[in-house]
Amino acid sequence: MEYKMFKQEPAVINIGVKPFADGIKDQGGRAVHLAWKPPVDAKLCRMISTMEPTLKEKIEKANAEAIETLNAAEGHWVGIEKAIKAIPGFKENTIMHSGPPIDWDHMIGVQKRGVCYGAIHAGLAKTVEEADAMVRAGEIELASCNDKFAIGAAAGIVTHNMVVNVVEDLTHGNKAYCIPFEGRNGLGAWAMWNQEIERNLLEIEDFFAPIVDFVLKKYGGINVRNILAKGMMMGDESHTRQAACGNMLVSEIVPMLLDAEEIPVKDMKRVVEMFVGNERWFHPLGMSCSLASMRSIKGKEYCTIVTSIAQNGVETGIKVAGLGEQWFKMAAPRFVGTLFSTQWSLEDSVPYMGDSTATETYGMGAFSAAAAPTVLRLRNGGWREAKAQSEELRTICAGTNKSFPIPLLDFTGPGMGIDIMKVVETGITPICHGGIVNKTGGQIGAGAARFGTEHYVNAAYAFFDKYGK
Amino acid sequence: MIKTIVIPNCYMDSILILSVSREMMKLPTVHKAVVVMATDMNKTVVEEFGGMTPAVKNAGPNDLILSLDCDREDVMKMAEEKVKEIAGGKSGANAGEAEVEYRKLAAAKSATPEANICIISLPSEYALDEAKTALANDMNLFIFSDMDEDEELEIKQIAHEKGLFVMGPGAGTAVINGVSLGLMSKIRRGRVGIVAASGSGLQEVAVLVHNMGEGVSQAIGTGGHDLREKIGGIMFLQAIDYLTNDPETEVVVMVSKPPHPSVAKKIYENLPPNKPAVIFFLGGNAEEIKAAGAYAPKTLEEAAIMAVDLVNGRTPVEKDIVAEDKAAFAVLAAEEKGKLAPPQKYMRGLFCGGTHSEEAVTLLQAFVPDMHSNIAFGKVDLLKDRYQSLENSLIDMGDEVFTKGKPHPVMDPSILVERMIQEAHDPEVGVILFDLLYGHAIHEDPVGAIEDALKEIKQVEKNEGRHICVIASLCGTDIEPQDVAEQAARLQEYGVILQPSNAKASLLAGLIVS
Repeated sequence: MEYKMFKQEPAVINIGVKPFADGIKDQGGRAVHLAWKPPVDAKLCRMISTMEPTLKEKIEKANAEAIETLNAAEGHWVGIEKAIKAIPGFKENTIMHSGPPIDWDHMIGVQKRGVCYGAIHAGLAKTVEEADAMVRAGEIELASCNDKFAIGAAAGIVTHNMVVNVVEDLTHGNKAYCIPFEGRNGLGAWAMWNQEIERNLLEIEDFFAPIVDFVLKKYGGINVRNILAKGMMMGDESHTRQAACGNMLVSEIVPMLLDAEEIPVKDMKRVVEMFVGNERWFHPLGMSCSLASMRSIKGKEYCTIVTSIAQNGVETGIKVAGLGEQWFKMAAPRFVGTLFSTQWSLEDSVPYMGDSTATETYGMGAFSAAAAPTVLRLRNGGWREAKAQSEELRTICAGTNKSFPIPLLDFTGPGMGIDIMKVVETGITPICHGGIVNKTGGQIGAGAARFGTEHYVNAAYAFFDKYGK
Repeated sequence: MIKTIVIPNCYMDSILILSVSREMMKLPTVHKAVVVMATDMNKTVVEEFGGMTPAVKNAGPNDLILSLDCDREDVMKMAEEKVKEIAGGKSGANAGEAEVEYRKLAAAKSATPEANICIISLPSEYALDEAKTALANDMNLFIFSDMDEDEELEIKQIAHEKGLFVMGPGAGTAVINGVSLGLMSKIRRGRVGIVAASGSGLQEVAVLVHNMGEGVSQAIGTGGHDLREKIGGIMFLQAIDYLTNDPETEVVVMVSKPPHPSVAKKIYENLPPNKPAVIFFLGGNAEEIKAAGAYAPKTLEEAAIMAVDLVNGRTPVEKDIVAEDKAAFAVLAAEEKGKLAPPQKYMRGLFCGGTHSEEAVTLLQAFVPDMHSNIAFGKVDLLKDRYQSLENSLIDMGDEVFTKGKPHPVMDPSILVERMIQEAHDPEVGVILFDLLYGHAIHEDPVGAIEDALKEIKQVEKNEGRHICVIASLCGTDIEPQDVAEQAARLQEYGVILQPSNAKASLLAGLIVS
């Protein structure tokens, strides 16, 4: 018999006591330490494995239908309008924020500052102090972006006079909204505010948006899902990276601008300049496309698929199709990743803040890591790690996003539709990519976070309460 | 000082470039680093950093700006080379370990297809599933966890069919191609092959071989149950088969408690025909071993001596090493005995290594009266209360009664502290014996971990006006992560008498109280 063990330098996968892995590495050997966790909740796992066959069947059927519905969804960028006009129920004194709803006293400092700056930008208050008092008095109403089918980018500040991109799933007629990307500094996402930021924001709101909205409506919008699909073949996972998508967007919008004779050449030039100067212009569209698509299965009976993941820097929350708009929450996770500059450390960052995790619910971002090995570089990884991450996350999904074939996955799409039951059973929780936000505002890095299990457990119990009788 | 250079025509993706600044921080004296492509927006970042130069002003978006706050001029050259290396796709940014987390074995294996050994130290109820997954992925196993015999047999049969090794369940140590696994000492590579159904037995032999200037080809641990009737020595025999055909191995040392007779028979029938074998079956039948054509040492130390003799072309001399050691200790033992007060009639051995305690039992039961232990081994009385020593007691501190919720004493010997203090306060105790083990996954400072007890012993000696003889053996080499010589020196400052092997330390302790 030939024993292969001795034919190579030992390379170890370690499960259990971590020093065993460290010991191998200290000797210059290769060792991967598994983040093994014991089964999440023994009682719940037993409930899942011994589920009534009729219930099991109903869940499987609902989930299969949901995946079909999601695969039929087709998000298009159809407009860019004032929030108060675009978002149903948005009032003049509404200020939205990212993540699940949270009361003022528990809101993280950077988001609070964002709300106050937003109040000033919206003309509701003159100073930060006044804004703070108005929130306490209930004169400014806070709302969770996700509860209004909007994406809260990072801090997720949206005021009535800000503009939002409108993406509509034309198949099912559902819309989702997200503010445009202001740049590396900005109010809506990064909760920073100064004269320069205000000037830039006003240019987007009053000059850029009306022109772009005009051409989008005139030429019937832009198919976002198709751009995402092509991006998957071009190195984008469309959460942390949308370099290809950004360029494709430009090549779709510019001909529209050129063709629209109503727009003065001077204005057209400036709009194109703004598009070209900002490679993340596409990001809000990809996020909105995800949420608009997920809306098609919200409220679907017996469906165990996660329809929303959102964070406010304090808590992360999920919603589950079969449980409607109910939030299940736990503490927001922290990032592993790379910072833009060596002047910062992870100590300077807040826990996960922002609703960009909508992309992961739709199969993008961390689930599509194999499409974008470059993004794994943020965590010292390469194509193997990217592929392995996609494959691991696929195991907790109800199906595949067929629109997004990925070369490194042999042209199958990424896993889509995080199934709460699979998360509980396997103990594998979603990883989400994302931007790292400074406590004082602004983005200081990018990386990924592994989420906890507590809210998945609570959601699964709630599911059994509702459907298990 | 801030130093800036522009590397022309060195385009790097915005994400890729982030990992470069991390690499820059690893260079000597670098405090801060800015590495960006020379776009207009990025030039303002460089300006804010204080790194603006005419070259930066003239640079274009395909040029890379490297600006470092560092103390040494020559760092820039190193930095430039590093950047070019990373841009060239070599190691560079990826040289570090990926910080990607896997929850499941299959995912980790798919990211590291070269992984060939899976180490499992999970609670027993989870170990089997993971072990089977590892075997299904054609990985060898090193299982620190315990399993029941049916499970052990099942996985060993699967592995045997596939030509894979299962080290364990209950494996503590191994050396595969020079890499130490588990709680193993660092050993130089050499010509002695070891197969052992005993963790500390394997380690003791390997360490002594190293300390005699030789080395180990492979040291394969099989777990303590492999030589039982039910398992039938599947892995022990497989290891013999490998070592027999391994050109690097010139002598095969086998270490175990006495196997089931049917298994012993199989081993005797499968001894290497082409190289000598040294068999140490703790307290086993030496005549049987000799009849099979192998050498039969009386201690782990003698097993190492024989192996070293054999690889150097010397025929091991037939001698009674125990009698020789005892004779050599006569003076020292008498001297130590003379320091003890009349009531101090007994010794207490506190062992980190399981096989060390068994070896002590085997050696001492022949001449030390009134022996007790917490392990059912040899001819000693089992302690009713494991927390309370009686007369002469040898305690395996790795007993699961003591280790519940705590690390095994080999990993962290601080579990010994309380017991050692308890023994020191017993007016009938004259000798305290212990062992410390060294290696990669082991406490960085084992002496520090038990230092409180050593201080307390000194205090007791002072307060009660009696001498307590403390004897220890350190199982470690001169290439461990810990500095074993420094550890020894610290113990000697506390008056601890050190012996080069567990056998010698035990014999000395026994002589003093017999």
